[in-house]
Amino acid sequence: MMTLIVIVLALCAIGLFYTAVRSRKKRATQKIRPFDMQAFRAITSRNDEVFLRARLPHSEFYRLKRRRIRVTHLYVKRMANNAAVVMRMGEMARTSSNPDVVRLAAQVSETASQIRLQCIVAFAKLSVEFAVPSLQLNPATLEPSYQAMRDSIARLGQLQNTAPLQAAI
Amino acid sequence: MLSAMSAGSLVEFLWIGGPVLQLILAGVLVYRKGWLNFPFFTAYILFNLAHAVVSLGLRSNQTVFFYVYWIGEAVGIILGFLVLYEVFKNIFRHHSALRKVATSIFTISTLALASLAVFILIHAGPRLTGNIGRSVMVLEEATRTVEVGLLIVLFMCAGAFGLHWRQSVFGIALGLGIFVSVELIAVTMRSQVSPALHDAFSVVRGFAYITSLIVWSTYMLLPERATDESELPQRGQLEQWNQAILELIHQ
Repeated sequence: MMTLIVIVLALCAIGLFYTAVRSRKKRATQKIRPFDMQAFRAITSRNDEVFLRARLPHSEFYRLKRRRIRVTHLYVKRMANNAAVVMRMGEMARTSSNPDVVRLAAQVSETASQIRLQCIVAFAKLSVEFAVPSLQLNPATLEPSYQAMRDSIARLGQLQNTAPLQAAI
Repeated sequence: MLSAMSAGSLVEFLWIGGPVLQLILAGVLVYRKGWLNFPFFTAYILFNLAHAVVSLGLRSNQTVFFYVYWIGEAVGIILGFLVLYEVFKNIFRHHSALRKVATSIFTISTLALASLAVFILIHAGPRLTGNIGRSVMVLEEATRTVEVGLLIVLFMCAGAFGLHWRQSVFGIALGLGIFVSVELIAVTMRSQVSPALHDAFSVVRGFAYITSLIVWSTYMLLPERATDESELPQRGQLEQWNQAILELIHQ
């Protein structure tokens, strides 16, 4: 049994390396795709959700909420992909001989990595709400991790003197 | 008989082919000043080269060869872990927020994998007594399991966080991954099969190491693609995304 577990672990690793090589090639050609901010805000509006919850029967509301979550998931996925493309561009621009480009690349890359991390939190939140549509995860539920992230961004802001980034959170 | 001879000559070929490729890779590392960015990886390659040459010279003396070979393997495994740490440090170097999360994931994974390694040692209890060769194999199986597990975690974290791997860093992780995974399979299966098949495992292991050497040399020689400033998005656009995703989390 133990032998089987170890062999499966090793085979999984080889499969993962193969996938990593393929996805790396794919990612190298990815570009930033347009992101409709207004549509995103509309689909994620809690006011709309409250309105629908009050007007619709439970089953109909849950069905609709799951559809909204599916669409929101696609938006967050696109944002996460865009953030990954920006991180890649930022990393590559760090090799530039121009110090201004290197500085800009570092700032942009750091912001993109924050977004990517937040997208992971958003995915988790959406998954829980998809499974239990009656739930409405509020800041209190996510507060500890959010606060930790906020603190790290604030510290980063002090180090980099990036007031706009602090203001954004 | 013929297949045994073929396996024997293949092992012979691998014993000589490995150091030749290692020498080429060492040359590439010197040419690229690899020790500046990857001191542990450079040490790993140079140590393996020295170990292979010394082992090759000592093959006639079985007792000395045995100790030199296994001590070398142990040092190689330790250096392998340091290479892994070097890769981890490199890919998260510029992402402080992600590094914190990744460090926590790595710490938990290391503890879980160490428990699995202990379980392997306990499970192999009866095989550990009396035979030093078998004991060494079981120890290697346990440590390689941790190494492979950490590589899986590393690749999964990099994928989930959308991290960009530089050519050389990706090459180091990939080459190490190929070698240690095949090595883990070989070392685990070796204790389960008849001694007649041990040569076959040596051949597979040798080929895996040669593949890794080719991967390392290729990725070290590949040029990094540079981006120019105009390709980077405006910071304001990123802050808009940042704001929107925070609103989603926060509401």
